[in-house]
Amino acid sequence: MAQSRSLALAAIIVIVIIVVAAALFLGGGQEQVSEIKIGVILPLSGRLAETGADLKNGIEFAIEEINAQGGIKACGGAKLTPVYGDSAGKPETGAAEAERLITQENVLALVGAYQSSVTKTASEVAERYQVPFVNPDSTSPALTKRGYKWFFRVTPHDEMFAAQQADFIDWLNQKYGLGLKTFAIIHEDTEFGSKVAEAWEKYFTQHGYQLVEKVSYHAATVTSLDSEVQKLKSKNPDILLAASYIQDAILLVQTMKAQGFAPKVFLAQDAGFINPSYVKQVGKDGWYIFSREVFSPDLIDKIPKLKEVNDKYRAKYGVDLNGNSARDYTGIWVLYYALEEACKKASPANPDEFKKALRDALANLELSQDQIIMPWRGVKFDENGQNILGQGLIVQMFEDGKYHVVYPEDFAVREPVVPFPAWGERS
Amino acid sequence: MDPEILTSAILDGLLIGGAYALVAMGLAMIWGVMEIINFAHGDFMMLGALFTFFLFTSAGLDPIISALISFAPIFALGVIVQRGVINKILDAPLLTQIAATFAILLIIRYGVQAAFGPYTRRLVSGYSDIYINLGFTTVPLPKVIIFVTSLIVLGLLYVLLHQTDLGIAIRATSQDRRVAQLMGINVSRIYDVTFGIGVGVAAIGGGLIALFYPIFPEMGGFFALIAFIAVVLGGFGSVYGAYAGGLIIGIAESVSALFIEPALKDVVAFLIFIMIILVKPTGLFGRGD
Amino acid sequence: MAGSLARINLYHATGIATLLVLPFLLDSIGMAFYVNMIFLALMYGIAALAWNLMMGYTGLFSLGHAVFFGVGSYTVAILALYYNVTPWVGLILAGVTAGLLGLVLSPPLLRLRSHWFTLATIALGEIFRLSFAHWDYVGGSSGLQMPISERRLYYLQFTGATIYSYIALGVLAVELIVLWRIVNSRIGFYLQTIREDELVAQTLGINTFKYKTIALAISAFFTGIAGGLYTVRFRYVDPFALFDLITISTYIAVAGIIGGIYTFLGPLIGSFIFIPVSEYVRANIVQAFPRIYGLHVTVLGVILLVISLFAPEGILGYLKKRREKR
Repeated sequence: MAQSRSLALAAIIVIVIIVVAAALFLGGGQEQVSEIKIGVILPLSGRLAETGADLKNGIEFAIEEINAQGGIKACGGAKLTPVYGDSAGKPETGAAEAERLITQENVLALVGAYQSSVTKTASEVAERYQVPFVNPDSTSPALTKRGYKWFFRVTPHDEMFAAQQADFIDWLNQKYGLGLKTFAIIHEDTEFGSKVAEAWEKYFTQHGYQLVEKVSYHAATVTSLDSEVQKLKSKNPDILLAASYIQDAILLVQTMKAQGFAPKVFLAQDAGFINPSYVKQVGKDGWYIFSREVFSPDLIDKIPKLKEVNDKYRAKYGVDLNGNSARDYTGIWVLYYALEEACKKASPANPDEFKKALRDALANLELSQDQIIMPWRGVKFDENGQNILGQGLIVQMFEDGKYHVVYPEDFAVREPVVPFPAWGERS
Repeated sequence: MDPEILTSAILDGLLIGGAYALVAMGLAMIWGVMEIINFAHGDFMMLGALFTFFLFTSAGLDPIISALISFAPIFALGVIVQRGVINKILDAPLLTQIAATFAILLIIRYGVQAAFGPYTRRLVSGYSDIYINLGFTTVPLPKVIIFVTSLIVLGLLYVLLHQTDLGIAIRATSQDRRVAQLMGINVSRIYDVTFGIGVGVAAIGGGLIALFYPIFPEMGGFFALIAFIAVVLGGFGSVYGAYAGGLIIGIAESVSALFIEPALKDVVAFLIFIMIILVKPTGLFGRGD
Repeated sequence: MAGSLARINLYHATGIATLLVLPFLLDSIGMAFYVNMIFLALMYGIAALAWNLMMGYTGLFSLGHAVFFGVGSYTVAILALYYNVTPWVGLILAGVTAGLLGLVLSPPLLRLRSHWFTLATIALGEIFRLSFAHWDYVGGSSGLQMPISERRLYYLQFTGATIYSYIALGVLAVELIVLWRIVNSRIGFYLQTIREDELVAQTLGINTFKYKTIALAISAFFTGIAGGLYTVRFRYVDPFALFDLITISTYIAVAGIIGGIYTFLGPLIGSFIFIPVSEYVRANIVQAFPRIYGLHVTVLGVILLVISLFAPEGILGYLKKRREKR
């Protein structure tokens, strides 16, 4: 008796749930062709929320520009609508957000996700659902070694950067006769730092430099880099290569100063070292440190249309574009050009066909240097989805507390200050 | 191994150990008196660092004085948290206590992130540029300051606990709450003061750590974990033991980093911790159950 | 807590029916976010029930269950990736590996009581995280990602969370039966005696170490399977996501606390409250206040605080108490 009453009640509850869910479904699923929804996955909370904010500004800004100039013209001026998903910096959340954006928000493309681990899982979901994934900002070489068909990375990756950095050292030796021979590496131990260190080791050794020390630390828990720096200093390398996030980059510079460790060349790998917060906080201790960059406001004179973009960006957010915001800004524009092409072949009203057209448009996309604000030869993806026309820059921080381009020569605005001055010999 | 490198590693560890000790002492005191594990301890430390930063940048106060002043607001906040939350869960199961203090951790850590942004701040003062040359190594002045302060705070806590009526009341309460109550001690007030002092001392630690360490909302997490270990080494609840524990971890980390991959130096701290509680479950300086 | 499995009441019947229908239903109307929520709640629920065998029944408060969870995850990933073992088998082996690890760890761990034990488990989690991040065989800090395979059934690769939810439901059913048998057996009685007073238990002639070891191993076994479910669902393992003190160890414990540790189903219910609330808050508050980073975790903290202050015995414990009062 009680049993059957229970079952009856259970059945009623289930039916109620069905009705409510169906009502929600019918109420929420209205599609409009006047907008093209793109999903954006970024670390908006958690440890990298600060970087996430930067990336989001770049994306927001590009979308505003695109919509202000008339949207996607080939689609009848359809507006781009971003739908944000917070990865919280966690791979599983990134994957779940990708699923939500694809199946619930019906986005036609995904953009993101900064941390390589999150990009890995989020793009895997996109690959399964056959949704184009444009990745403007993850640099792990492994991402474009997976044979994915729907994954497009706009930025150069760490192996490309490492090769270019070794060229840069050759160039320094040649031009300034520094006689650099030995190098040491310090890196944070997540995938970013470890892979960068691997690539450095490979390319610098190939170029005939000798590795004398390699240390890693765990950025999330590091309270002191005293013993790490001591270890490096005792080997007296000519070149120090560093891959760090923000807090640990500041700590590294402070510790090197404390211990008076000044290698002839201090070359960092982007990430923390180019973050506005690092630049603001490190002050004059950051002078003369080289960093790999993908972008610099210096390029205003070198790249048409950049000045205009940067002035507006600065007016809106109060800071110049940096490597992170500029790359995500560019990522959206790359997507825009592909969307224009795709709109000629298919209508967003037919999502499956449109996504396929968008994928093909990305695969065949060829952008020239003057269509982007980056110091690249353009954008063209190989069969793995890697942009093969990208390249990095080497910048150095000068006495104005800003980074300026010193290499490659066609983009350089200053002569590099070498060797790295001893800590005591600064004004 | 070069003896100079070893000596300077030990010295470095000792100085950073002073920072660990400042955070650990408050944690030990709170545990010793109230039998509460304050999960949010590291986050009160972070608040101290943030307060110091704001006093320094907006009021232009000397950062060391700012760090000492930060004791007051964090003490007050500690009292509020004690009255509002901790006092209500004193008789709850251990696990509810942890849930509540963990909730406080979330609220402080991410509340700061929401209110002041997730940004990293760095306190740039004249102190950061001064180094003391000891011949075989140079040590930055801020680390010396933090070590000396930790010694002074240790001394003050000793005087407080042993030479004042309040201290006697605190110690009586920690021995037996009910008996203390019967003796006319206002136990609830003692708890207010204990919790306030505990987090206030951590705040001083945070303010001084900010002299050489960047300030960000999640900075307290790791310091808190190290402080836990220091408290355990020190025999759980002993303020002096926790102090020694902090120094030991500082030295162990810094010396072990010379021999192993430095990224694994935290593993050493935890392994030491597990070995010591296996050999002597009451901690290095504990007197048994 | 006494009674037999056959005594299924109204609430249980409703719960079972809802769980069976919901993933399919939500999936068919394209609500992937909610299906994923159910999957996560099941995954954490499985781990929280296992955790509670130690906490609620034995009095051992672990904040290191990420160790067993993570080792289970890596087991599935490594078996599939290096040895082409299907995750169907991998899931069981994940439990076995984690269970064996529990056995190995029990001699040192179980010497410790109450807070000592808790702190040692936190430390273990840290050791595993850092060690795995530096161990190349398991992919080091990059972790391991499963390649996309056409053998979907063999490698358990599906889009969305629906199928994984049903697999998790199957695991949950087995776990509930096993745990129910244990807690209502002689072993369960001994464990609760140990929880109430270990000295008394010893005086009564109970081999406390033996029974605590059993509890630890079984708890580790099911937590390992929960970890294995993570791998099949997300097809990616990495040391920072898996050996995480907060998002794994603490979430498991918090789910248990919210539901009520002195009730059999409490941790499961807790997981079904905590995970959806935290997921919903994260997805929606971020959308509403995109510029205020961290707000959603703050709100989560407030919710947790309110529960621990006003329903410290957990929600099921509170309901039970109210029913008994009447």
